[in-house]
Amino acid sequence: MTWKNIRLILLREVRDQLRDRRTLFLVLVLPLILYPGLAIGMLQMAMYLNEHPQVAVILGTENLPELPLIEEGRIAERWFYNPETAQKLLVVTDSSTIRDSVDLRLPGTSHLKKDELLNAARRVEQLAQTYRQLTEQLAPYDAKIADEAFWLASATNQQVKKKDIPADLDFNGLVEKRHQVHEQLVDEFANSKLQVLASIPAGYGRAIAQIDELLASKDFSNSKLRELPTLRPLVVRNRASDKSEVAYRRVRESFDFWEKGLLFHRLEAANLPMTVADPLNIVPLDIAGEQEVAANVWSKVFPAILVIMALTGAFYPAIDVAAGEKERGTMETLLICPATRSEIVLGKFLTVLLFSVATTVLNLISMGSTSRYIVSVTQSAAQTSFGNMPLPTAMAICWMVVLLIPLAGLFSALSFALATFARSNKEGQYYLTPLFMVALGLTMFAMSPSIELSTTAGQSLFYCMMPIVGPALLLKALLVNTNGTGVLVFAFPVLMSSVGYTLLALWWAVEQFKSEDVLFRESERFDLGLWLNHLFRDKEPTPTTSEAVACFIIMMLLQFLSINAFGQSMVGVKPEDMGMKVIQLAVIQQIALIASPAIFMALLLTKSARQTLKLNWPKFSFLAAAIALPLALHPLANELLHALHQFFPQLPDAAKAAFATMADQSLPLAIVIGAFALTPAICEEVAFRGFILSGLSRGGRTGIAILLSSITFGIIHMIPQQVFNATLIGLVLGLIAVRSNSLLPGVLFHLCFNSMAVLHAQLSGHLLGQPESELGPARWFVSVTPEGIRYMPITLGVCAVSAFALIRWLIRQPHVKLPTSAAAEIGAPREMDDHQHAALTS
Amino acid sequence: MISVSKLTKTFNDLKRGNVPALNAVSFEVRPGEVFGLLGPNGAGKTTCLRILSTVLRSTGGTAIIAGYDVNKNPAQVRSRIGFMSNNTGVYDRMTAWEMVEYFGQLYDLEGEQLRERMHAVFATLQMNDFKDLLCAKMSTGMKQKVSIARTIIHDPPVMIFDEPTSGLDVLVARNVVDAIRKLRDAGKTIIYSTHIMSEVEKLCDRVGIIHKGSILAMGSRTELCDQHNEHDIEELFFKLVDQYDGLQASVAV
Repeated sequence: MTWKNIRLILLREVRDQLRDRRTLFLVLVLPLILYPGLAIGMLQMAMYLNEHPQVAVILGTENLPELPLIEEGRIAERWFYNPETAQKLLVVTDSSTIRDSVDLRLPGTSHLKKDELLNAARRVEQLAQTYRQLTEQLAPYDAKIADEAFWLASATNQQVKKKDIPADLDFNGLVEKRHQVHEQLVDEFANSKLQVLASIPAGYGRAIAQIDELLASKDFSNSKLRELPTLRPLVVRNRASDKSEVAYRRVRESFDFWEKGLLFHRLEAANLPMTVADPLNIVPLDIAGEQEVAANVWSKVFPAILVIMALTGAFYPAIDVAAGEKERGTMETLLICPATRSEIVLGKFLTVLLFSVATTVLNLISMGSTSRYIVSVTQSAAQTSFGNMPLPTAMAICWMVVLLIPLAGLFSALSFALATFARSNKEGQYYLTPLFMVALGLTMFAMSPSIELSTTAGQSLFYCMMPIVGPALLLKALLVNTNGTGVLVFAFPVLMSSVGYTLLALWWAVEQFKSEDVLFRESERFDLGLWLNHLFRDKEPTPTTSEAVACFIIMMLLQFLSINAFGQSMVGVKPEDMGMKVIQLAVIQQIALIASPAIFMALLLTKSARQTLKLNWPKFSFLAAAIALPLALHPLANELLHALHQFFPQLPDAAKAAFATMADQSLPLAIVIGAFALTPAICEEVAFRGFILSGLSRGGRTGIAILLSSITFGIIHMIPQQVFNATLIGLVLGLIAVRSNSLLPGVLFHLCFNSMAVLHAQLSGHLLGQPESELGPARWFVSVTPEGIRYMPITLGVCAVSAFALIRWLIRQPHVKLPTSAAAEIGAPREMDDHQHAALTS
Repeated sequence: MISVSKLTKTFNDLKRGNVPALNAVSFEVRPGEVFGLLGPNGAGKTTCLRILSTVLRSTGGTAIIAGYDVNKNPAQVRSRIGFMSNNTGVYDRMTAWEMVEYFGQLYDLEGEQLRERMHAVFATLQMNDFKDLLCAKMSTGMKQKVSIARTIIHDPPVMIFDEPTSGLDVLVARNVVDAIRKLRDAGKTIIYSTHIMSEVEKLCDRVGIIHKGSILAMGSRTELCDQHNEHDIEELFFKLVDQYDGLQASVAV
């Protein structure tokens, strides 16, 4: 592989993309116009709602208290936070003395006739009162209506009490009537051309004046105060209409200030201090600086933009450089030049990466500067809570770039691999859309407020390891926490896992590019029957890689579907039967969900189930190693899990039940071992070291096959602790299986390892609480703690040395050459040659 | 220069299972010679030539080109051949000059050497008047010239042409054939596949007749005609194909 060829291909592809109008538009033009465009649209809408005056009708103005609410035909300016707001509310009243502010100045209101408007308002008021009465009447009998009645009830904090429906009440009839009134009300309100209606009840002003007098006289001996009627103005609005809601908020704002004014008058008259009405009287102090407020906003926006734009930027160039090249008929031209396939892939991959990064950076710049500009524009008009909206710090911007590279790398490699598989641009889009969906889902997960990286939360390490989620979360944390204390420890795992995923995806892309089937795929009509036929007819001795992957997916799906069924069967089991039930389910799960798919697929889809499942007799030395290794590895695994304890989340209940059963001494030991050691040993080995490993090692790369099979083996264990443990053990199991070319040592290893775990659990329970002297000389090697038996450093040292020696021995064993796909393919035509030869000579 | 022995290729097809596309094909081509691969569509010509250009891998047998094995040293083979077929298109968004330059660089030509070579090729093929035109805007004839220029820019000792005239009008086809004849005269080793009999008669020194993945007959035109007692190469072709199909049918029954 030479850098010269990669560079040549990269430069050509970049130039090619830059000459493509579609790419240019998407990468350069769209980000520059998208955000300003969106912002202008949103500003316009906000302006419209803000600037456009709304109509408020106030009925019963003669009942208003003395303190004037309305001055010069408008709600007085002093009752608003911002005096200008008064101009944005057109007030129409039923009073003959108040001059209305609807003086036909505005085009939208010019046809508004005052009488019409007032009549409509009166009809609305009538209906609203009826509706309110009905709601209050029905509230005690219906929880849903009670919820709605909460704000309508005669006194604010009066709870509606649940009652039985009396026999003489036509409940259903009234509900129906209420429903009809509601419909009429909505219609009437919509047709009335008013946005909000306030109705002041009769005697309201007098009632307020009476209370003022009573308070001023300080005559609290009689209960006159309590006897006064509770009168409440009714304010009608429609929350589903933006205009009505805006008008309501303005009216509400002025009413609140006016109420304060009334209160102030009342207290002044009674010669009482203002604090009487505000016993709590808090001092709100916000210590967030501009930078923090802005960082908080950026941390919610930038990671999502980063992910989505990195993918969008990779998406289209990837389709163009891979599927597009095929579609335009230049793929073969490129393949016959001296550049190797890996050079071609790298050159094209780097092109996609470059565009992905460029798109993201341009989007971020455009978005950042647009929102900053918008904030500064709106700020001049009105106060906002965002402050000056400073852009993220230089450090945070550096981190964005650092995290963007692996993220864009992963998307570029994945998109490129998928696009290579496609024959045309159109097909490429079909394959890439699911990738978009998954990325979007993961981003939304990462953006939810409860998910965050923190050194105290155990699951953080797992979030770090998740593709897309890891970088997104780290960036979110770094944007909020500008100096990065406490989260920088996650940078290493996030970057390492991201780079790992990228390399894996890139490797897949190279494999795709080396596959003749993929590069020269003819467009055949897909026919399920034909395909099944082909599947059963053209069997090979061992499964193909895709069959192995399919097997794993089937297992995962079965596992997923069975969660509910298994959960159901645990319901209502008596505690004393729990152990047996857990054992039953564990065995059923192993046989039905893990072993069965693998065995069926091996029998149906391969020529030799024996070769697939490695049913050979191994050399004795492998069997001996398979017994010795678990003895050394169990203490190491046990201590490793303890050491990493804090990184794992809490065990789910089902897992706790399983571990409890393992330690349960009331059950016969043979049954526990059978369920937790023997059954998984056979079933999981058949599936993972049998079918899946055979399928994966078809490409001839045993190292990667072992790694992938152990990852699948880990994933099927679901619980993070077990996933971690099983993946590591899977590596050893895979190595044994490949070196011995037999399933038996693996089964033996697995049996011993799990038996050790069962015995460890049982002994831990047995020994706990007994004096240490009971241990005898063993206390040099182990100690008993409430968390179970722990191993002493000396034990671990011995174990580590022997495990190292045994694994080294395994690695050095001669590699048993499995018949690979190439060999099988060469075998097939030879047979055919002979047939043909015979045919021609006969 | 080209030595093909028992080359075999099997494809896996959804409908028919394993399909042999090439059946132990063997032949040799010497420098200064045009070897014609004559056969109908689907005979296995393209598969054979794709294996020789190392784009596909054989499932059996091997081929030595300019001293290198196609399976063992594919990169060495690729740098010593020029390959042109109707599947090797030109880049729409590049000009003729850029496209040829790009491939010249991939073939390790640099600087002055590359420029001289390009001027020579553009002059010989009379491409100077459209050298700065984007390939997307070219006529089929111009595109074909760019393809030829791309094929010969690194002056390879071995050249493979897979139906280079298919879909071309008579004038352009004639230009292509002339260009190939000049290359032969310059001592190149050339394989030329076609299903057009007249081109074989005009251009090829020796012919292999290929049908359903097998070579049915091989030799110079006169040798073939003498062997099979047939003076017209077209008749000869039909006779051989009929014979083969008849044999297959009788075996199947």
